[in-house]
Amino acid sequence: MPDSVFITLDNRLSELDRLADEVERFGEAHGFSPRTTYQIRLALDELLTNVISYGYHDQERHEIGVRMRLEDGRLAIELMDDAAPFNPMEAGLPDLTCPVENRRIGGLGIHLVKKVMDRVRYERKEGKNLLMLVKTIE
Amino acid sequence: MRLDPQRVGEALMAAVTGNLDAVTAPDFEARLTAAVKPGEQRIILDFSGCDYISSAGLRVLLGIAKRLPKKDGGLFILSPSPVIADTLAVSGFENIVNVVWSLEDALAPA
Repeated sequence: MPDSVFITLDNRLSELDRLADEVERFGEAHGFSPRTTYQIRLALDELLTNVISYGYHDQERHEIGVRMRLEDGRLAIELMDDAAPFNPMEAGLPDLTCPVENRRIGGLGIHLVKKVMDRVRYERKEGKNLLMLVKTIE
Repeated sequence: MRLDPQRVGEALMAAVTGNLDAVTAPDFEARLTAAVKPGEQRIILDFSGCDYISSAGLRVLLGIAKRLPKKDGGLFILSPSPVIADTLAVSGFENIVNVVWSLEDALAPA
């Protein structure tokens, strides 16, 4: 398998299963540990679930691009969408120490993304959201 | 997803299989909630057949845990995979659910 793949998805949650399969294949081909592959899947799922669930204010079909590139032991991922401008890195994070009865769940997905990725950067470019993730592959 | 809810002693036990994510979580929550009886004390979710959980699944677990008493009950996650146990830990769920590795521990008095 080449060191770089580009996948396009429709803005439907069911597409995330297909993306998970692609991540699985990419990880397997490049000898990623099951844990690493899981973490990559989790980060992409969290970010794209947000985009698909909240990013579009019409009923149209939209295309989301995912590029994964492996170089020198680092995986660089780019997510491109034409959803409403949204920088997930500025979203509020949950208070993880809160007892169960007061605990709120907002921001947990983004918290997980930050935990499993080494770097996450957001840009709004030419009317698109661009998220750049980096993960060191051990 | 096949839940197979059943009574084990006083507890409600159900299986979580495949993925618990934004696609499957709403249906899972509805079907589990339908099996919960009023005054339910303890719910055991067998995670041994679960491959994947995202924050959408965690949100459902939190909602269930909130409705159970902390003392002499609660939500028990039985035999999650190592990566799922990890995900629960980095999400700060140690004080929300009880992760256990045997049914005996899941049924033990608090």
